[in-house]
Amino acid sequence: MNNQTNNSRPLIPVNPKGLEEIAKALLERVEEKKGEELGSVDIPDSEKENYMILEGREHNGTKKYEYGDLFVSLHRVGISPSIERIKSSLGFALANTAQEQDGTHYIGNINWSEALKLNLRLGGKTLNLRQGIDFLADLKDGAESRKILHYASGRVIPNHVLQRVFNEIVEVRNPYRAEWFDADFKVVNGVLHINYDHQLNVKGVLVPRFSEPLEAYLDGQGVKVSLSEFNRQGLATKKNDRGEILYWRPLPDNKSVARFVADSGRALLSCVWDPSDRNAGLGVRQVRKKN
Amino acid sequence: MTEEKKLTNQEKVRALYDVIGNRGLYVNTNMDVFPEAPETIALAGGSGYGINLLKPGQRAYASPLLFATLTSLLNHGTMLITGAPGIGKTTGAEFAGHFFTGTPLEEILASEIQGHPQLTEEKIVASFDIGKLVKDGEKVVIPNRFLQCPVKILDEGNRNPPDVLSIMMRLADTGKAVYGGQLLQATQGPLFVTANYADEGTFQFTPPFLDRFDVAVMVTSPPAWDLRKIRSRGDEKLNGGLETALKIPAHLQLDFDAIRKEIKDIPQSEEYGVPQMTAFADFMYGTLRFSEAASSDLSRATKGNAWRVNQDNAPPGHFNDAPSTYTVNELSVRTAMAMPRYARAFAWLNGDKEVTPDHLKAIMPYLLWHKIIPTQKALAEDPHFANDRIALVRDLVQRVETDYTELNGSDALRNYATALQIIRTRELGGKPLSQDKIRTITGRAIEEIGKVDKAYALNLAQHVAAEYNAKVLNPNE
Repeated sequence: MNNQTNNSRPLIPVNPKGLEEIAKALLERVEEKKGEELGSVDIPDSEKENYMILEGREHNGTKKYEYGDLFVSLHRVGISPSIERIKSSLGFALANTAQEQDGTHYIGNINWSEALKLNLRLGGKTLNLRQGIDFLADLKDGAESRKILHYASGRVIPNHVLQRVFNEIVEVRNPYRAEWFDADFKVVNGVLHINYDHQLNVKGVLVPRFSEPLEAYLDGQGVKVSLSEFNRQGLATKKNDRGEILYWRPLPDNKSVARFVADSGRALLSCVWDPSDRNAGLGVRQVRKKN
Repeated sequence: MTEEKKLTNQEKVRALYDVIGNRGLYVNTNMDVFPEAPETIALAGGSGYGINLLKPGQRAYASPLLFATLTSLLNHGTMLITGAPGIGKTTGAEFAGHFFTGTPLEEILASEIQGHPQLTEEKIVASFDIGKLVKDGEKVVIPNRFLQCPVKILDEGNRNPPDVLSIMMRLADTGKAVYGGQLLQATQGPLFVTANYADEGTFQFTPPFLDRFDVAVMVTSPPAWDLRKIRSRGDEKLNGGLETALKIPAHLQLDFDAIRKEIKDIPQSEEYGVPQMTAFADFMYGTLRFSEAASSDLSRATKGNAWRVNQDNAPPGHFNDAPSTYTVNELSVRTAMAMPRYARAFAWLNGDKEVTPDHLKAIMPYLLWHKIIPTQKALAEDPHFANDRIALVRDLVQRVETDYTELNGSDALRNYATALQIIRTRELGGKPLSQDKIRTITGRAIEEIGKVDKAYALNLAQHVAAEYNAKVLNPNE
């Protein structure tokens, strides 16, 4: 006697489109080279070409900072079905308020903590400063054919796509575009610290995994710097008149966080931005850990 | 003469809900249930305190009155009302019972039982007809008023000894009681049990007893600015009765059968043919059920089987940050049934056309807080959870929701759905598949799911295996 269920339907909603292809792949064991080298179980196949693999690396200073391979979104976060599912419980409003040059809409008008919380609730995180600089440097090297970069799917990203993403972030032109980084500057026992890699505690408050005194950095305000001259914490170390971006050092005012902003007058990595600031063009990029 | 617009049942219930507040019978502006998340403004320099502001058109409810209303509208609804003495726990239940079942307040008061350690079965359930017993030796059972009243209130329930509570347990569960070998059916209607916080004169409610309550609220004292409105209804100790305030307007008489049918028929929002609200309820149930401490055999790795070594005294397992590690116990099937029932009723009352996961998430803390036993880990992460179980469940719902969202975008989910589809249809590309091929796809899908190092992946793999094995046992079904 069999009293098993007749519930061979998924417990939670799944788009049936493409399931037959997965079944064929499982049957034939052609698994699109995913997983083992270049893929991730966390990003659906249909979205893998929206992410770039940022290879893990080591940066040395007074101590070592290293991170593993990451998937970095090639667009700022926009309204999606995943966001629709959680937005009622976030406690802040979300809407697409700006558009990238390729027409992709993204969420703006979010302050720093909202941006970080949004990414965490989506199962991802926000680039810290060091990762952000590495991402920009890789985009530039890739666009200029000095480096081959891959989508999360494993396919090579064409140079023109890398150039477009790089320009979206740093090109000096209208409209105003900006994005937050996971970097907060606080004075601890009289010494300025950088807090990064924030997580949510049980009360839903952001708490940093790392809080470190700042290592040697450039004390500049709106000076040109090169993407290759940053310390292990993601702070510029040298002025460089041939550099790609402008840089503004952090202040010991306990209300400074980092973001990148570009408009018709500048392309600036600023470490003195007020975390409560909002702007329609100010969004955030999502990064996911490669499993 | 103009024709008066005929109100729908929903409009009548909402009008009665407002009547109770407007007449000062239940006043508390301490709104704590929000169908949609309100805007939250941080206070005190980011200390964690916040204030909620409603957006235009948004609704909010005070949990004691909201759940007393919903419980009154459902068949044999059961509600536990806890809080400090003298803040209106019993009165709120009496008024809600009166307005939402139409039972006269006098009848409710006359049948209400005041808990105390000497309370006997005879006072709750029934007694023999003494006249007939003495005269003819015949045992005729007379059900007492408590059993016959549509609104049953046991005041200060935790002052009763365990044997009385076990009678209540059966009553709450089935609406039935036994006296003198005779099975008695209680009149249909809500059961409210109030309980002050523990003191030297109280007994502790056992987990099985607490599980019988569909919903529980922590009544808070009204804020100071509500006292003016409470005073304005008149002080019955100074100037008499409440007859006027308690009068139910003639045009607001309710048709309970029609209301229950409307609640039952309210549709769920669906995504890809799957009802979303019950999907989230089932995911919550499945998530909290898992226990590494119980067994290394997945068929017995549930909290219900962790009877000697549980989440609190087991050595660290593999999934130490999974949402399941925040509770000692799992949810009962009774709770799994109550979740969609109350979500439907809440959506109906809120005037929505369909019930969504947001309705369930808004009320879930009140359906679970009295049943869930937090682990030491949960209490260590936030000591407030020892008092504020509502916050504990909110936090838990958020953790489960994060897993749910992560799963939604994952390949594991697509492999899982693929295997189920193949098992169900037994074909690929319109052509029938051999049993060998179905086995291959199922096995490989499970392998792929198994690469995900998350507790929820175990659940997906188990579901696929259960459906596959069922088909092997019964290939023609």
